[in-house]
Amino acid sequence: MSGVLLLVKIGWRNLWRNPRGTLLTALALGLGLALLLISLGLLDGLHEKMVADGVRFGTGHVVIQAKGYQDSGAQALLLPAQVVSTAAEFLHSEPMKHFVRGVSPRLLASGLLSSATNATGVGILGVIPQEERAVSLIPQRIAEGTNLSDDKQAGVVIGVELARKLEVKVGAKVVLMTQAMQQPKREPADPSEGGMQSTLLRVSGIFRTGVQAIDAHIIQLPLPVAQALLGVPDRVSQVAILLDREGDSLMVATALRKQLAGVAVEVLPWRESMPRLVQIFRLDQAFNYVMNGVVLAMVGLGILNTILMRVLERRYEFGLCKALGLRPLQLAGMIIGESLALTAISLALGLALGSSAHYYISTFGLDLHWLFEGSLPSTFIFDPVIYSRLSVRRIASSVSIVFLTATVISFYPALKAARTELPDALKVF
Amino acid sequence: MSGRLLQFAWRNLWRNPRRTMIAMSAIGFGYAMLLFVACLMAGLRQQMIESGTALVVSDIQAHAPAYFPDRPMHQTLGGQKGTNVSALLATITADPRVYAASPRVYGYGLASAGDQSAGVEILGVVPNQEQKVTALQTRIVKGSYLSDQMPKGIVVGDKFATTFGVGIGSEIILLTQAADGSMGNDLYTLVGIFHTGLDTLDGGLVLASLASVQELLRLPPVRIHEVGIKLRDITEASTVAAALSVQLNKSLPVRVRAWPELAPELADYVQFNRSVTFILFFIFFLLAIIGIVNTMLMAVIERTRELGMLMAVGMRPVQVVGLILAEAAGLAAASLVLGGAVGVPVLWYLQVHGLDLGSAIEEFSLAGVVVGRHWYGRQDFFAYSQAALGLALTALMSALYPALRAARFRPTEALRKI
Amino acid sequence: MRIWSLGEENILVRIISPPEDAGTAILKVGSNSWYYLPKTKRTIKTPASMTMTSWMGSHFTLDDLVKQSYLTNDYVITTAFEGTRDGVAVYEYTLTPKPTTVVVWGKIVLQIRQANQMPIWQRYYDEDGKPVRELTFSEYITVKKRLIPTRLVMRPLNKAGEQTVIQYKNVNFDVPISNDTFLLSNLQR
Repeated sequence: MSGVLLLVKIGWRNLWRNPRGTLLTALALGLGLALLLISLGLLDGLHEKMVADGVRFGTGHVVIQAKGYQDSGAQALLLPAQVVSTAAEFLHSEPMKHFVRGVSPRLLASGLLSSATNATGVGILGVIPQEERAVSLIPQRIAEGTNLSDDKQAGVVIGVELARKLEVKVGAKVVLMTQAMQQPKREPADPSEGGMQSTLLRVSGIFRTGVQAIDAHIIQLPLPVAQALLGVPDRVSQVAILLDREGDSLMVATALRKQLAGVAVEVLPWRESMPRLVQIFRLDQAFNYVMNGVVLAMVGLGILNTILMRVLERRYEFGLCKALGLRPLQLAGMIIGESLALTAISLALGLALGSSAHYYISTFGLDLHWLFEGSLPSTFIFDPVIYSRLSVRRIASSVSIVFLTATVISFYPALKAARTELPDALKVF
Repeated sequence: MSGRLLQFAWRNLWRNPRRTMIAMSAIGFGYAMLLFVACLMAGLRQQMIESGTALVVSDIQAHAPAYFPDRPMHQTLGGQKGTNVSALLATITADPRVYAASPRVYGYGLASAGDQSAGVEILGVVPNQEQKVTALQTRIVKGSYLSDQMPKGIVVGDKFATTFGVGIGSEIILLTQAADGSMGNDLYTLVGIFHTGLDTLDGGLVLASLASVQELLRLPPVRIHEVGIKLRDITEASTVAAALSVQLNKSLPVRVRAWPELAPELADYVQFNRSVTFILFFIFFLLAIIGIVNTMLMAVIERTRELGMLMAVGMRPVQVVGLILAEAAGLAAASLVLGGAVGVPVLWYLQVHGLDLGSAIEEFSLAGVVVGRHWYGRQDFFAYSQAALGLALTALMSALYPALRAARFRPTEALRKI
Repeated sequence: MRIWSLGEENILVRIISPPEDAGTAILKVGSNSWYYLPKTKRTIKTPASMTMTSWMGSHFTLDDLVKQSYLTNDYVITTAFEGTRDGVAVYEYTLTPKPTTVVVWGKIVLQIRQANQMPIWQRYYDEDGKPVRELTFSEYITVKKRLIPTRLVMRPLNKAGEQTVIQYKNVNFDVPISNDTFLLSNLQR
């Protein structure tokens, strides 16, 4: 098979006879691959961000609640006391701690928040500031003032719409009034049951998430304050858990469930606790497929363009080869060999370019703020900073698609070249 | 640029038909793909907007100037005196772009059933008029929508019904502060339960007849808070709102608002959608640059002898640059035509048949809107022309380097090349 | 209206006039409240948080009417002025809520007559020192050796032209009221 080796050698040298042309083509192809990788990375990053942020506005990747809470939403359904400590311990130790980014116990209730000018109904979230910061996005959307601090100070963070309605600024006094958790009703003439509790709070920070329902309605205060107010000193409504990777949700949920077996709790991965998010996820995924397909097609066309042009220009050369005795099959082989080599170089180039761009974007993120200049900066659900995400599978499939496309494309001119009509091909011009 | 140069450029393109055709196909199909995506995105936007406004908000709303967004009860259209409601409606519907208009009254109060009571938003409507403007009646899951047969009927969301444990025929009391300061209260019978998928509506909104709510609030029939307006074409919302504003203000102080002001979350999603489309355009332009630079550069290098000869017989470098640019422009134009031709049937298909996303997607809510399974496209000529223009500019930009290189050929050297 | 109250926890209010609201009754026992609505002949239980919101659409909250007596406990009182205003010898006190007091006010300023220690007006300020509302007292009478103002006017200072007037036409203390008065069943009579 020395014939093949010879062909390969000739093919290789063919490439370098026209270094500029070769490099140009390689660059074009390589850029195409790089562009593909970057686009896919961005699209995936965007998609993942949407889910990640959605989860962070809700109950995290995994949530622990009292049994039946998901269906009824009854305020009085609280987690049994030791669940929080058991779960926290489990999640912060080996091996779980490598998957977990935050564990936030929360008490949920509703109440009335009053200022000097106005009063309105609110949804209360009693949280531990440090833990909550690792899980929820509200602490990161503080527009004025500061987040809740870890010391016992009775601060509260409220949304920007709520602040507007109550006409309060950072530092203002507000009174939170709520009904202590009570047992099912008894004869009403007993004033000591289910008393209304109120507490004085100072607005420590005002947040803006851009979601109307949150900005006008939700407040966060320190967990101990909420517990005292509601008369449930050691209890919480849920434990929200944020993971490093969405893909681990099911695994962590299952492990937790086993750990808490026998206790009346429900451990739900986000797909069960936030079914609406699932739908958004799916729509975005469908959207992603379409976009991926389109980008792939565009890049494919670019490759087509490049390869075809390069190969089809060499009729004279092929004619010469044939005239010198090269058999059609050998000619075809040589062309294909060249293409493979060229593609290999291009892929290497493209991979290098694409990976470095991806690395940069995945580490530092791509800030898309400029895209949303027109719309109000406040009303966005997530920061328009996207981190590129590329799985090995994605890279592999992109590379192979480009490689295959390029190779298959070169068959056509290879075959055509093999059938080059001699006298015509040798005509100059 | 002389016409002869353009002609020359065009003929040059076709002297190597294969290369030109290949480049044209690549760019043309790329453009077709852009059209595809732009169409889909426009369709998604349209669907979102229509769903978002169809349930309650409506395309346009007219209020007394101080009414929105806090909705103080006393700020009725025409102030304390009110206004001739039917005349107002008639003026609005006289505009041919308006499909229907419906009068509304809002209140906020306590709804009570059994032992439970909670704050709700109360919306009073005229059933047969309201049904032409919004589509809440299509979301009734139990019982029926309001009708004139049941003047004290009330329609609530499924979340409300579950929390209060009420069903069709249950009694619900509404208690509110009336306009004269008294305790407005009345007894209603539950006639229908709706499900929108939006918690704020399903748990906090109740609908009753306009007349009964006016009675509840002690408002005379001439006082209403809002006119909800539906247009024949929702994309005209802002224009029609402005026109109506001018017209109505001649006889009555009003503020007419289009949906972007009424549903800002939705407006932002629409903007986001547009931005994503733009990203795709950008990717396409990058690819086009690569393709065009490649093509033109190869062409120029190949035609070294020819170009050298041209310059030897007097063609000035500037003209050479012009020539190459013209060729690139011609290539872009031809590609656009090709892409457009391929795209048209696809665009038509998308608009008429749409993409079926399959049963994987059930109804859900996004940015305050409920989205369904079929993804229809919609023609977005603005986006199409933006893409075309972008491509033309890209082509010219890409050809600049090859053109400049060609201009720097020295005729004597060029002629010596094989 | 006719009002019965026992201690601070139990209040029964029956509305006599105007005709639109006549027959309406409100019962508050501890933190629970009910309304009886004669038009629909129904009793509804209201969320307890309504004590902090406008009562019957007025500028008073139920909390205002019940909690007046806690001023001395919950506030630090300093004398701001002692002398004559408009020919009347008065004291003016600045009441600053104690750190643990659960109120939204920054301060309350109270003017009382030196002669009989009757309040003349009370101004509520937010924390920025902006006056939010003013309560004025007048028409003092003596009932069972207690001097009380019978006309209370509450004026919001950020809304022009609005006020609520409570006029006590007939007041009696130490009236024997049985606990039965405050039963739900009594509400509907």
